Amino acid sequence: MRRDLRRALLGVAIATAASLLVVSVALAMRADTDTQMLVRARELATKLAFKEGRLKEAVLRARYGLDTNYDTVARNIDDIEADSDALSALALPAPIAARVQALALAQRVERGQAETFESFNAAIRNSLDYFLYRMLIVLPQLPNTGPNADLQHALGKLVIDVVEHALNTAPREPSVSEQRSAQQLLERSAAALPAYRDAIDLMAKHVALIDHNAPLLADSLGNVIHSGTRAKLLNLEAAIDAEVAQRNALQERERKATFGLVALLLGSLFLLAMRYVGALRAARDQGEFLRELNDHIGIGVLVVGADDHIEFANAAAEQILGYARAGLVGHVMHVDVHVAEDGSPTQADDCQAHAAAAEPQGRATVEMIFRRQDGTLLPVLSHAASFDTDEGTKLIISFEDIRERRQAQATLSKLSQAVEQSPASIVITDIAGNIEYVNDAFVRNSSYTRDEVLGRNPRILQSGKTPPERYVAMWKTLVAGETWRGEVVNRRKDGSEYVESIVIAPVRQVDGRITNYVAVKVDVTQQKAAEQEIRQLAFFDTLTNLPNRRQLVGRLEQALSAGRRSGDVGALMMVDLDHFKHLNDTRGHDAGDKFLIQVAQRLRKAMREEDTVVRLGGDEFIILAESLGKTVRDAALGAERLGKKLIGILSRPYRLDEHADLYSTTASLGVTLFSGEQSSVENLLKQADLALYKAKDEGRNTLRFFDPEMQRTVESRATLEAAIRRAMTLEEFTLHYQPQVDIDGRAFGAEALMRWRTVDGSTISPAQFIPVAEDSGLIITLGTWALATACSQLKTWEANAQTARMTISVNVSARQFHDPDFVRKVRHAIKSNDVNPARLKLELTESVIITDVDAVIARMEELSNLGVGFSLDDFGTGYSSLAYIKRMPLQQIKIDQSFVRDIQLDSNDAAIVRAILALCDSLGIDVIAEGVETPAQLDFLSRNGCRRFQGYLFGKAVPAEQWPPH
Amino acid sequence: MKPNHPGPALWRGALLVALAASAMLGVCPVRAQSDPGGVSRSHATDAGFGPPDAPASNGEIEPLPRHLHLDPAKVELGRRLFLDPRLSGTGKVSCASCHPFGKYGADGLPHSIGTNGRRGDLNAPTVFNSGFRFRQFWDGRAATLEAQVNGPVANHREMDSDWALITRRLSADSALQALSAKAYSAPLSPAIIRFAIATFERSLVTPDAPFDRFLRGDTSAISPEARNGWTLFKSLGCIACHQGIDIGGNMYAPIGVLGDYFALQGRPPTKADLGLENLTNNTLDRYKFVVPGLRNVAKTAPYFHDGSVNRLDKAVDIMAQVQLGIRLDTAQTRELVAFLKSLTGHLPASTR
Repeated sequence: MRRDLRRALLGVAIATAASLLVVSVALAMRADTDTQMLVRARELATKLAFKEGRLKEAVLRARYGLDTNYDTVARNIDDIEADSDALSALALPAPIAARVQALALAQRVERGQAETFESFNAAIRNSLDYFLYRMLIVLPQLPNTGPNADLQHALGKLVIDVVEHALNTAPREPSVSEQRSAQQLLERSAAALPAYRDAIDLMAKHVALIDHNAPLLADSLGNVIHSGTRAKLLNLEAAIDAEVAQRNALQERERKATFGLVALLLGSLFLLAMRYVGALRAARDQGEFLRELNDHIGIGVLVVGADDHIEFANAAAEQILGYARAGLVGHVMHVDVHVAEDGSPTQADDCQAHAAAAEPQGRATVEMIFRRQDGTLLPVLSHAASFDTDEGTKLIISFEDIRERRQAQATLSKLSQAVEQSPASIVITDIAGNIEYVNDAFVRNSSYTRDEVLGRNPRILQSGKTPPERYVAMWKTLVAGETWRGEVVNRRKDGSEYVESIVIAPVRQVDGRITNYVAVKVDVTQQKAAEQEIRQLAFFDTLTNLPNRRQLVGRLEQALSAGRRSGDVGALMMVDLDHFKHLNDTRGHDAGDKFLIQVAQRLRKAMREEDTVVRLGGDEFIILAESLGKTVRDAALGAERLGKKLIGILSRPYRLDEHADLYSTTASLGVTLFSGEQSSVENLLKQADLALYKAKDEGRNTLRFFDPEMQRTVESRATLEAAIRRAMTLEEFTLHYQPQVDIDGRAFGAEALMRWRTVDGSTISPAQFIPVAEDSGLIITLGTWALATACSQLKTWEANAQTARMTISVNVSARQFHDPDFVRKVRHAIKSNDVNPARLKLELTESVIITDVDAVIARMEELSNLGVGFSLDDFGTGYSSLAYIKRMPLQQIKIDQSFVRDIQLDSNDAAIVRAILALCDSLGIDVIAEGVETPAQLDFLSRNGCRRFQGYLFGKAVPAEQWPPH
Repeated sequence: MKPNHPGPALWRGALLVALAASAMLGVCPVRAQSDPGGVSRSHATDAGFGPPDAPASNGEIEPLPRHLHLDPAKVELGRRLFLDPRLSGTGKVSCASCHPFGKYGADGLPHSIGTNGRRGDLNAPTVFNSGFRFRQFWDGRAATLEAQVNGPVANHREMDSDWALITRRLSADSALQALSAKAYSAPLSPAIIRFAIATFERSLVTPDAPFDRFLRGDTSAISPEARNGWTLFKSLGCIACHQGIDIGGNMYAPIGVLGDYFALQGRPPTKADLGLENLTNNTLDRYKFVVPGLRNVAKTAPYFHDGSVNRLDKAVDIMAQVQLGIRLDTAQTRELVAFLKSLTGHLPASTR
């Protein structure tokens, strides 16, 4: 009976152990999955933020005609939808899921708006195309005289209004009267040109369509651009980061909680093992069972006569079966006591026990059902033996109530299953460490079969990667009778390795003897990986708060793919602070840390918002500057400028301590360029590192490129820059003057052009030195000199009746124009030479006027007040906007020579030139054509109303002494 | 002292607008005849459907890629499924029934005939080049080809089937199972069937149309008549919607902008004619459909969402009237048709 008790206890122990085990494993697994989901969500959010930017860019490109199809827009919509769906499908914690839902909703709206945008943009584009194309045909047909002479001018103005309306980012609804007057104007035009009536009627329809569609287009565009998806993404990213950080802390707590659980578990298993071992021993000793039985008061004993009547019942039997004292005797065994499962009487002849016991010396142990006096049924285990008497063969039956045992058995079988099927590996060894038992999980996890491990030592699992001291400590703990817990790296049969978190406990007997060890092991490989991931998710360097290497890799990948798209070239720079180790050694790590923090601050402040500054570790920093130029050459020069600036900034003294001296050092930079096509992230880092090594090798405090070609570009540039400086002091620059003539071929002015002839007689083309002067800022000095020289020339010409009324045009570069001192310098050139400012004309290129239009116009007006005039150079080659041109105090527009050159060959160029002339006419701006080389070109231009010309046909640029040319 | 400018030739097209407006617009109503469709700007994207980071395309129309990067095992499984009538409830209708390869992926009928002779509401669009279409179905209700497959399978007028039935039937086919294992390392499932069919459909690209060769620089690939047609296509405004690699298929547009399509057809609009509005319930979306791609258009009559017009020249005339508000003269129609005929490419390699 004690055995059964033990079994029951064993069951309970297993139950507790198994449930605890299940709980703890489930907890660990849940933490894993959740974290992985968060990591995945974070990745998707980052990808989406990137794609959202690309969608907006694509929409803008389509709006402004930089893309002439919608494939890119459509592809970005698809991409976003796919990622958004993937994000929504993740099982995320509620607050984050809510943000994801809000994002998905905003993205659906945005998608609809982007599709609406496509439709309206196509409609507007079509209307504008038609309107402009017909207008080009209709405008020249309109009469210059008679009652309709004003139509040409009025239609010219209408073109501007319509185009502005179509292009304006916030178009206002034209008033009814404006709309009516436009329609009336077109109606008058149609009446004047009956042959074009259909075309003009359709133009009117398109004007109405533009009026209707423009605000809707602007709305849909605005709704895409300001869809709020990016803000929602940033919000989501922040929420995920916060959740991960919190989870980090939570996981720490959970890990502690898990240890608590494992301790409990261990207690139970301890019990489990003890019972188990006890049960094994009991089973070995069958005889003990019988002895215990006799002593046990719970055993009922009956004697049944040959006629099946009960002749004797002991007290226990009467008690178990619910009879009063002596109440059982006389009852019929197979009617009143031994019954079938349903309570009906059985036949003595059918009774197994009866039959077996009837054999000579026969005995039987059978489970059967006894009926208690109150009619309830009771499962019993009965042992029957027969003995012969004078009254024939009698049976002696001993029996026990096995209700408890049956229940325990059911529980036991359930719970053994739990242990068997537990996801944690369970191993029981004997005291020498030989394996006595393993569960299924062990077989699964280790890939060894039971037969392969039973009787062997668990050390067959060792990978050699666990420090040997750990095993020493483990045995020391176990031998002392205590529980050991820790992590070991094990190896499967197939050679693969896994990390297990193990709890091993000794199993003690009642007398304190240790007989076995039980180990519960959980595979934490994945959990370790997830922990690793989380640690890496901490994107920032703790000392400097700069992004760390991991973030660099992500940003660099993004930069590479952005580079692939835009074709821009960017730079990766590795910065190393010279002699940092020395600082650490002499002033201590505190000073070193302060220094690094200040370096980080300076770098961050020096860079643009969109650039990335990363601390790689130690005193190594990485700068990632995207889009430094369209070509490798430009980017190399840009990178060099930037690098030099950084070296300068880093070499300023640092205050590391209130009391100590300022600390000064230098920095070395290694630079490599990337343009998206080539190179992996790792490669670029390696290249920058090599370049840095070169910089250090060549004396530190300097910058080196990975690619020798880039290095040469930068150096030849530097040489040219030095040569320009020298040439300025040697006065090697001169101005040449090219005549500008009127329709009669009379020179009314000249364009001043800069020439460089070195003392040794060679000439250097402006195409070579102007960009260098522009980049280095020397253009300001050079330009000031040109202004002064031109003014002095004007003064000289004033003295001569033939040249007294000449104007001089001087080119002004963007950098020069934006120089804060520019207006003063112009005023000084005019005043000091005492010339009529009206004779000075400043030629601006379109590149000057595209940035900060309002500031440009203000400055132009200031200069205009001095009396100087403006000409817009190279018109048509850039991004001039009529809307701006109308607001600028421009006297003249110069038709670029590239249009003049092919005027005869290319009908398109001819149409363009014609249209420029017609439009400038309606705006009241002079037009001058440059690059006029043939009489045929002159003929075409003058026929179409051009009155001013410049080009070889009228003379090339000559020094002032040789004026006039020819 | 003039800073360097990029070659002005690049900006000539843009200038025409600069003259009247801001060059930033880039609408180019007339392009130099000597410039074959802005070839200089057409970067042939030969890399399949282009990686997501492919450079933004600039040309109005891009040539179809000559090479695709698709897994041949998936394409083959998809091809078999596409041809397999067991996908339909009656076991008689396959995808290819309404999208036969020989007829350029469409069936030549105004409305296709599905199971038990039932007819659909709208004209079956060609399956060729459908991988370039931004949404599937005329009203764009499926975002992907994978999602599109569900439509005809479940539609009682098309295949009238369900995934459980299809999977049960096909799973017994050991050859298909072997292909599935090879392509997806998994037994056939509804998802795998959809993936494979969609992948196969992505392989149905018709490269090397004469016009594509023209875009790639072979100016003699299309006739002078077709070249004039291309110029008209741009100058009349067709290009505003029919653009991109599929010459359409990347945006919605309403049918009937400057003319009434239904009045011209002499019939009142039906519910199916509402198009996108049926999905969004927004009256602004009334009569909006996915702009059909024009590739192989000469081979895929009848035309329009209702399949009401059999002749290409008539379809062109109707488009000019209702979308652009103009009547073409016969020479213009002829030239436009010549251009459209130059859009017929080679049958996809995967159908041979």
